[in-house]
Amino acid sequence: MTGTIKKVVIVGGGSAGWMTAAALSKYLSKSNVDITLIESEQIGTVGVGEATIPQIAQFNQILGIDENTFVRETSGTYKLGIEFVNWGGIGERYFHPFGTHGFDLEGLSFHHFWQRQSAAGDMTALDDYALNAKAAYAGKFIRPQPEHGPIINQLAYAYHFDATRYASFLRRFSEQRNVERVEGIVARVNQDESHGLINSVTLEDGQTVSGDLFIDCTGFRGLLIDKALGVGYEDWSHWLPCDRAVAVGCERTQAAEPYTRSTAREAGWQWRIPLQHRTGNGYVYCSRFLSAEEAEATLLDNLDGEPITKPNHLRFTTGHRHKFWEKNCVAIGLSAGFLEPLESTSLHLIQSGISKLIALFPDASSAGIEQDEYNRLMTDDFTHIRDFLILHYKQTKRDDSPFWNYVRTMDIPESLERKLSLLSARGRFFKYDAELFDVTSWIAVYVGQGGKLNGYNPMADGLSDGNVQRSLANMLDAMEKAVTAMPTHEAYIERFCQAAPVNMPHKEST
Amino acid sequence: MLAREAGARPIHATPVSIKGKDAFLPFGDYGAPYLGAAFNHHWSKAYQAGKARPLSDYNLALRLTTVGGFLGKPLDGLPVVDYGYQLSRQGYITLLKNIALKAGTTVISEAISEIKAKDSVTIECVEFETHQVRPDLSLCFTNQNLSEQEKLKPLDTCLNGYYVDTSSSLSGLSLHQLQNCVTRLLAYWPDSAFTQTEKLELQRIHLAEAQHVADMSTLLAQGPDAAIEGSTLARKCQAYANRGVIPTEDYEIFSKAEWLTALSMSGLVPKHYDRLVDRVSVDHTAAFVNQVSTNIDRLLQRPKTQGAV
Repeated sequence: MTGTIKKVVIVGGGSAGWMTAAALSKYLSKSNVDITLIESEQIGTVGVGEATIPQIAQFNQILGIDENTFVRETSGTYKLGIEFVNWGGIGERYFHPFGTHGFDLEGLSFHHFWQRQSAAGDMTALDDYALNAKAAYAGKFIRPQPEHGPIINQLAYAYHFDATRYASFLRRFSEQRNVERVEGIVARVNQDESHGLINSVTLEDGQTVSGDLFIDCTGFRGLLIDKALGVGYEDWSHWLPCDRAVAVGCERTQAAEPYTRSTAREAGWQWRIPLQHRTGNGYVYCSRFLSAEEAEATLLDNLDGEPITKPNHLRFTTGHRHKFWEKNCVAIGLSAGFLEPLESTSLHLIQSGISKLIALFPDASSAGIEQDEYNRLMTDDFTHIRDFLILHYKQTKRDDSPFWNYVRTMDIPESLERKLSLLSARGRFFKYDAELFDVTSWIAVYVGQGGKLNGYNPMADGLSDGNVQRSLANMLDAMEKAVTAMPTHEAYIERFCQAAPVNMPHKEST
Repeated sequence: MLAREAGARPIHATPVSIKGKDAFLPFGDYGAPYLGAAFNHHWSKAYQAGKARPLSDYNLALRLTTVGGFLGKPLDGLPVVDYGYQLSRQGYITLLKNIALKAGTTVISEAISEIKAKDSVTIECVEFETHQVRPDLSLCFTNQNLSEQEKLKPLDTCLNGYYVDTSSSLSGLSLHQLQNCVTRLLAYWPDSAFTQTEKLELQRIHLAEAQHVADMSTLLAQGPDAAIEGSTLARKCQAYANRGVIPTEDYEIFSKAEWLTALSMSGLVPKHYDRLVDRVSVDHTAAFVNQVSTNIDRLLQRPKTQGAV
């Protein structure tokens, strides 16, 4: 294959496929590149309701998607962070907020001053200094605008939405931009004998779709990147041993809270994602310690309302492909790798893959350098997120089940070992350039799960006791006033982005 | 005060030598991104079509430097132009020394005669000709003119001491590195001594930075052919030569504009540009690119009272 890429073939729909199609159709609209997406209505998507992180807003902005329309069309709600229940110990809870804790003073991170006050006997919790946590627990939300002032502008947000509706929304967006959708199931992947490049795919109905660049969005199967090209898999199940999930939607019984809840269970954890028309739930668990039947029973026993879908069972292995881009195939989404959705990073990794592909979009004849760079950057992305996820399992007191005994005592990567050592000593944290989660996230989870900061930066002693006390009290006061001034999350959605009412499906019909 | 005490003069670019020729690494960007692609890709497309001037004409910082001008505030339609200072090192040291003295610092202006170690990782005492100091923490900043390769060795940092050599063959870089060192030191300020992990972390970040300095020095002095296969410099050169992309690593010390200048002035010409640029016609691209140079031309023609000084 030589020359310029003229045709991109995306194999697989779902969030990954349609996000890729939407972005490429936007960016390559006048580049004489044809985009075809192959999907089959017979193959279900994994999406059961998705939680996201704030970076998704940038993706939508780049596509020119109006936020109110997007939330309305996907039955979305707003998300200010994640509440973690029973993670550090049974009965404990904490909030991992988007945004920050408090405000930095004299160039030093806020948490050093919080730790200084804690060491002096102040019992105010770290969560109390997070505007996002306060607003979330009060059921409040407002989209920050410059005129709202510096306090409310500290509020960072993402969305919960129905992934199936999101894919449909992006499908409409893409088809309006000339993406051709082909209905069909891939029966065979055809490769060039001399170089092993993918030339085309043949569908079950005999139709052949050829292309210059193929995007594998076939989910866990990795039909192109794995089955055809044989790219191996870096298995991280030693550190992230959960390998199954069961998901189910249920009726909403109360106002949708503006946050995700993650509840640690006997052999994993349960998510709860409130949408406008239902609540998404799932139990991510480790099959070595729990059967599918037990997981399903636990999940169904812990729903807010009546289930409205059949439980959907999934299998996965945490880790990633040795190469995300091999020959003329780029894997995006679950075909690229899987990290459990504990911190809602699935869509972010798709977004990250797409933005890197756009930045490194190849000419067919010279993809080697771009390919190496893409693989390097994506590996970094996965590795940084992996370490943060492992922190959630490692930093716990729980000893009530074999699963928790395993994760509490397991070896951890050297990179995480170093981070924890620095954090525990004096709250030190240096973020890598490409690292997704910053000091707020690391401190929130580490402290929230009972991790001790054995000191703080001595520079924090440069301010007088009175000055620090007044500053922290002012922060609490300002945040309290800001939250009081915000509308409720429900009222905000009702005013700006309420979805059309839907008839809830009966369990039998799904 | 900086101008008076240290003879500071604002500058928009660092003077360097690229394979023996005088050149500048600019503090400001080339043009501005457009259609999701960096400016240099648009320039490449227009230049390949014979519709653009040399790349350096599109950098306001370089153009200002060439005419000896200075722009202290951003102007509409043009990127912000950062500036540094060209100053008297001795004057700057005196200025900072006075600030430190006012804050209560004691100065001993004597040569060190002996450093006594308590054990293999702790400094117990530093002896001068007439003084003896028992430090809780010692910070040693030297200027030994080590080669860039020699600086890639781990720092000689003991648990209650911090040692770094920040001499550099690149103008202005030693102060920049010193500033970074001090920033890190404040972030890692110890109670009494660094923990082993803190020491290793300081070394890790310092070495990453030293690697970037070594890469830039190699590129400027010897050109891209001197990059070792598989190294960070080779990756930068290959990615740039292929598509005008500049990969960055953790703890970069040079901006993308500085790398772009060094890579292009080292003779590398990208074979391709970002496909996003092809969303518009070559005439549209040329019009966008040349609007930037026209704006710069106009600015440089303004009387001093209107902004360009």
